[in-house]
Amino acid sequence: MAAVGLFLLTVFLASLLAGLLPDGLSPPDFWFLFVAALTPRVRPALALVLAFGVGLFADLAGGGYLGLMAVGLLMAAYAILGLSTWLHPEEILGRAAILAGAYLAKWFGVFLVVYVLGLFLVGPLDFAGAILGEALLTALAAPFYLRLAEAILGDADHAG
Amino acid sequence: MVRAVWLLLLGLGVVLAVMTARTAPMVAPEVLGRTAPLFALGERVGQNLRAALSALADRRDWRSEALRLRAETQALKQRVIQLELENARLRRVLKVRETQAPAVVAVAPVIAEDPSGLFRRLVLGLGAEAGLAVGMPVTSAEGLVGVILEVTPRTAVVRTVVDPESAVGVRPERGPGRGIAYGRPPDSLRVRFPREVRVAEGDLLVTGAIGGLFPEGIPVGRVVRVEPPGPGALVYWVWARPAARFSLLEEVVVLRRL
Repeated sequence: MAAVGLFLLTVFLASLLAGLLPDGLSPPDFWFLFVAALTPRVRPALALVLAFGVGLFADLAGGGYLGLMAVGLLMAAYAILGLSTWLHPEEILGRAAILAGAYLAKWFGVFLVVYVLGLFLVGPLDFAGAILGEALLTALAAPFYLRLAEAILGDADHAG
Repeated sequence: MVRAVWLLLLGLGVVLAVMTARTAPMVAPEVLGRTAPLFALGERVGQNLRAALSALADRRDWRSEALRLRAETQALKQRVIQLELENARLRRVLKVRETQAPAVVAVAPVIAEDPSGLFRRLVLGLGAEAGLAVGMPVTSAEGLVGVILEVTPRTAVVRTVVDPESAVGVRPERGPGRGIAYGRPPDSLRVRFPREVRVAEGDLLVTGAIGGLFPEGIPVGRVVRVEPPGPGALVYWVWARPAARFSLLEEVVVLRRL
């Protein structure tokens, strides 16, 4: 139930920032942050399924190709699970490194689908500006969002 | 187990993407219409917040614009005051030129007064560099001020008509006869007239000595008291108040030496 509440809050925050930020500036990826908050708190397999489902919802709500964000968030969740076994998520630096790795994994997943679909009309570097802007805002929003998620969902189970 | 789930979902995602690549553009609007209410609230709040912030920024712009205009108005007001003062000064110069003498050398600011109290002298803010020289008459719109006594490159000292060393040839404005006005600090003139010259209280005395330092007809002072001549005296004395008000002088007109 708490996860549903956080999901609705995420929907609100994502749409709020989308409306608030000026055109041309990508809002923070709250779907990614939602997956990052949820993954350590549920069983790994369920975390992957939930990440895939959230991504699918994001694809549908975003009016894009099905599977883009689904695979992206699936990769992010998998990266979180994998990195948490040999980094220290209970420490701030370790958590930051896991988040950074997961974020890269998300974009790897997205570009994987883009490659499979043959959607590259322009090179990936042409998206660099948008990706960097989103990454920066996501990094800024992450501490607040994750603290909020902790308040709603409780402490994470870092055992993975 | 986890890896298997991951691989399964990864494959599913890729297959789903490939299979729906053509239909996605048609499916999306249908789904968007149903999920829009979920996002509408947040987006509307965000847009309103953005509009409010934009309005605040605009208001700040108005405020800075108002401040800029206010500063500009102040500057213009000061400019108007400067121009009014300049206008008044030029009118005084014109009056001097029309009524006293056409040969104006300079309009000089009064920058200091003799502080001793023994003499009544003024220091002007112009000197030899501006063409001022010893012996030049100094006047104002109200009347004669005095004569230049000393000059430096950038200042000049004026001996006023009330200075104890001052002696100015005068005559009554409306009658014949000549006399000599001696300065009596702080603000009086003691004028000696021959017995035959008729002068009464209130008469205006103007410059009038033949071959004197000053042009003819410049007001010097107004008679305030007449001392009756003694028995057998050839001269008599009158007291006069100078026409120029030295304590109020801010600038004077320097005339060409005769």
